[in-house]
Amino acid sequence: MSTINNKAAEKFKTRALARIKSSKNEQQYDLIAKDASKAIELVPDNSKAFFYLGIALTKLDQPDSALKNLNKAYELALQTNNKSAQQICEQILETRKELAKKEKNEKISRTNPLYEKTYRLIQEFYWSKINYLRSRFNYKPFYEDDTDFQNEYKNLKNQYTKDLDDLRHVFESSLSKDRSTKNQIEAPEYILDPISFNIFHDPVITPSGNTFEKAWIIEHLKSNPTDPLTREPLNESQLIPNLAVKKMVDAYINENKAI
Amino acid sequence: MTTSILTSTLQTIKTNWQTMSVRQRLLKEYRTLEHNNLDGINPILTENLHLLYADIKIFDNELYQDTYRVKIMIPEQYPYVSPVVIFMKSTEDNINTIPIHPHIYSNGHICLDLLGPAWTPIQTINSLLISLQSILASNSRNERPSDDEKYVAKAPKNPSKTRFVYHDETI
Repeated sequence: MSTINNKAAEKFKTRALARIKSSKNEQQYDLIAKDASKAIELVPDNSKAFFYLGIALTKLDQPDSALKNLNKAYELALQTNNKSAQQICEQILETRKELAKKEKNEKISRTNPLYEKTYRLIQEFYWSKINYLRSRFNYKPFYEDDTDFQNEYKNLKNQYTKDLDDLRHVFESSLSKDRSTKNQIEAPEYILDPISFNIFHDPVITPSGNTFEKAWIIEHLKSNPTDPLTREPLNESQLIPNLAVKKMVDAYINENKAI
Repeated sequence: MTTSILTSTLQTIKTNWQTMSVRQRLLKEYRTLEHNNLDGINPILTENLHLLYADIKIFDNELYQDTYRVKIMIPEQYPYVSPVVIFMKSTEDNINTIPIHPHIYSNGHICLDLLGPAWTPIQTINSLLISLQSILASNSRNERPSDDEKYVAKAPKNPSKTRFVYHDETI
């Protein structure tokens, strides 16, 4: 029974992955999420399935539940000593970014109803532009694969996100002046992993007292079992979670609502 | 047939994700390189993320009056593996010498432990360039490595394939 489940889960997982690669519009992410959840139902300890579900949910604008799934994926990947832990870490940062953006949006629209209205208007404006673009290419079969179409579509999409970012910026700075300048400061170096240059997600400390991102230091130890800073011998069992740094990262993200 | 298409798709996704992590780090490194404005080091970025050049100037050393150019190639396994660094000539920009140094071969290959076993992933392109500048600045011997002719005659194109013997710690 369990082998049948395994095989079925594998198939759902593969289909989800294939769709992640080929997805052209948001509708696909629905299907990816469905496939991935089906795979999880069948085999509940599958890191990849949680990972794909997390990606899909991020794209579907549900960053909070996406984050839960990604954390689960990360734990499972670490248990099986899987290299994908690095990618999952990065996706987690990406999703936290989306979550921070979403929370910020909600905060602005609570305090300023005009923001919500303008946001909608911009959305509608670009939807009509995209519809017009589609109608222009309609005569071609499989026009979605056409490079001209894809280029114009990408341009529109970029302009759209840029406009929304600009809009948010304007309302943000009206919300509170000193806050908006604070947001532009880059993340301080002490919460950045010296190997991946990303903000820490699961920091660990070595016997020499240096802190690294777990998935990245493990990858280094596979080929070279030494501490990158002191070059002393080091193995995976000596790594200890650095909770203080993790709290610092959480505090930084909460305070700035940005990564 | 469908399975073969699927496996090839899976393969491309896999490699995309692997290089994505490196890309993030490289972009951040290039940004700091451009902003830092190190004295005497001028990075030249290319459209290829895995290839860049840097012009190095040496101060306070009579042996090195020119500007020297290095070519830096970033391997796929970066930052777990060091970049490949070679001194080069450029007829366009009038850079026509490879610095004379007991650890630099006349074909531009560099015998430096940091480019081999001493590399660790916390090193950066930035720190590497500073090391190169300092090994030149601190040198007083106007000579090539003793085995220069022998090495250059049969050297592989990619110096990372050479197993250098790091014999001299004093230079």
